Amino acid sequence: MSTPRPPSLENKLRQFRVDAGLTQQGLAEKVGVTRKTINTVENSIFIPSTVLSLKLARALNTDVHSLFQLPDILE
Amino acid sequence: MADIEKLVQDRTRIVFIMASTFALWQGSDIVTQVAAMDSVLFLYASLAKIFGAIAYALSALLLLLFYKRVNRAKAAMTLKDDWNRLSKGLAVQYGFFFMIAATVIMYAVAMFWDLPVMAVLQGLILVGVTATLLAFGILQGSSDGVK
Repeated sequence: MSTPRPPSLENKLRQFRVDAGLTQQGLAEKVGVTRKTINTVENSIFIPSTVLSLKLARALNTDVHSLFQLPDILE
Repeated sequence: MADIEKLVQDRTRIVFIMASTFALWQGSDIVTQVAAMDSVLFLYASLAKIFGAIAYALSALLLLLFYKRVNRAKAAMTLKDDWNRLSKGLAVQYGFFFMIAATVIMYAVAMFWDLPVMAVLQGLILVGVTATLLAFGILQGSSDGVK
């Protein structure tokens, strides 16, 4: 039931989190969600809501576009 | 802030307990409706039904106590985060799917045997509720490797 789905959004959340020296638990506390939510977003199991994306970007001192991008469409 | 991870794990455990005790209670009740009253099966099912009912009531009490802990820790909003909301939606979908599947199976069985209506309806409720709770518990509690 928790099999990762093919990502429809590229995300660099783990990279930014590690660069900020935060564990998933630490980032979760900063944002006000559970560690599981951070984990599922990092593993592309689900796409975060707009509000959550903004909160993550603010917690990591970056912008949403740096964290999440649309994958390039191959022709 | 209270240990959110511990609260999430406790909630998952309570959900699994509720699902299993509900299934035991309702499942054994269905058996008592179809088994012969003088049979050993009826006796065991009756005992299981009593045990299941008490266990389910206790699990509901556990859930109530859990939410008191959550309120004391002011963790309600954190526990109702994005993944939790998504898990609930997915769990309802799984419960619905399994209930449809159970309906199809009972329909097929009913072509060969007379099934008591109340037992069938109860069985569908059992499948729907249990599958939903189990799905939620599995989604919330699944291990995820890197932390």
